[in-house]
Amino acid sequence: MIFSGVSPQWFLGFDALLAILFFVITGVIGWFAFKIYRFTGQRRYLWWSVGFGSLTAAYAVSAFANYYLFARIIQTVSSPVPGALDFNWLHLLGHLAHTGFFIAGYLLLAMVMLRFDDTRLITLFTSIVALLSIAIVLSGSPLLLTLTNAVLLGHIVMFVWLNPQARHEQKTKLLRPGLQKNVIASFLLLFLGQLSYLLLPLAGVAYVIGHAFELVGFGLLATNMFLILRK
Amino acid sequence: MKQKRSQLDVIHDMLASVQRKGGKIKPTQLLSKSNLSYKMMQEYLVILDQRELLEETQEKGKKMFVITEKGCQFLAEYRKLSAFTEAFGL
Repeated sequence: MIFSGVSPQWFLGFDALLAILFFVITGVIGWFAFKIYRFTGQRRYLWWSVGFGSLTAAYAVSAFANYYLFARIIQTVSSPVPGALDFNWLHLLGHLAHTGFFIAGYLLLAMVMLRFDDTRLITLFTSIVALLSIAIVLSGSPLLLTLTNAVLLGHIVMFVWLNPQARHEQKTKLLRPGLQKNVIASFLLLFLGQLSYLLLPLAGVAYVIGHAFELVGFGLLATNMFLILRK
Repeated sequence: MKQKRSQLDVIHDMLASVQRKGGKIKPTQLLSKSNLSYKMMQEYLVILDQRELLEETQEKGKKMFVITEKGCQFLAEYRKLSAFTEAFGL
């Protein structure tokens, strides 16, 4: 997450490292979903792959922006010369890309879980994502992005929770219930992470707690991928 | 009640039947081994052909289906792919 000026000083730099870690985890999941698409040709795996790919891009931007911010603070401390003029443009573009990729990623994941598989619908939602991203960036409030992400993740948690249950109703046997529990728990933790970011105006430590939730959530997803890939 | 097979499971069952027969199989054998209706099998054969998992050849004037290298790769990776789709409820 990019929240310039709200991170506790001691946490600066760590957020960039965490963003790199999340970039790798979401990238591996996206790559694996694309692999299934190559075998089966089913578009829902492609959208799943694009969804996680979008989150990967969001974390890449996040890592770069957080590192840039960290480097600028170090530079300002060592030599108090005002930064280059292009910083504002770079920051604005980075913020726009970060917001757009995040919303697009979570929206696509939610749509795949709802079994939406219509290119026209995807196009419509892409347009909404683009407009929403511009509106959020122009509003100047990063909390709007957090709120949007929290709403989307709340729905994703509900969908991942309900999907296996729906399959149970069809009397299908789940071969690996542990992996599904991990997925439900991980999305729940990512949701709690977004809720923590919403408390940022009250206390800066919410930024750290939000990252801690995300770390455990993505850690569970990484554990799942490790268990799947070592089979 | 018997569980409904996913698309991944059906593709796996078809390719596994071919592999068990030494890499090539007659259409009638594939139909009986894959446990599908004729219509469904035709639909899946189109998918398998498009994804380059299975290819049609002629042997002594008779139609045969041969598993490709990508098909063998799918079988080797099936457990991982299946675990992934099940974990995310896809």
